[in-house]
Amino acid sequence: MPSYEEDLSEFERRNAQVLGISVDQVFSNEAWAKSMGGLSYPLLSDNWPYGHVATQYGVLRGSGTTERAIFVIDQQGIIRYIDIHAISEQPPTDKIMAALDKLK
Amino acid sequence: MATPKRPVWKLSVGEEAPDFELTATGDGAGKGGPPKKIKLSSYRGKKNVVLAFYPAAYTPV
Repeated sequence: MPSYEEDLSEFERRNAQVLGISVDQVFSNEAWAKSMGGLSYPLLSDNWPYGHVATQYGVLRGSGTTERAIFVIDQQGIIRYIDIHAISEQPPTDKIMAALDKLK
Repeated sequence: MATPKRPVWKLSVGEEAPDFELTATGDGAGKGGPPKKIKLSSYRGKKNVVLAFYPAAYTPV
């Protein structure tokens, strides 16, 4: 997640709001983000009911955590890009930007 | 070698994103702002959204 911090102006230029989301509780996310010096976007807690949103998006794993996944959603609420990645890898930012560029 | 299990693919490009409302950190996480509710559909007609699922806090990237 921290890597998106460097790209924030690029997201802003494309009128995109980054929302981080995991099954962690808010206080865990807040503490984690603080340990990194803070983030410029919010972290959402899909914690109650546990993994409810992740389940709807098909990214809840059997282990109870979520996949590393990106959904680009346009201003009409339509999904325009999906990337589900190996858990150890970061989805490529350039592809996310390319998906956002198509929305203009 | 067993094939790694993948979750059932449920959503496709072109579909409406399921709406949700979740408790979140402040606008910038880790900056001490009070928790607040964020509703996906509140960005309708205003902003594109990059929804980034990550496995867990404190996971290295």
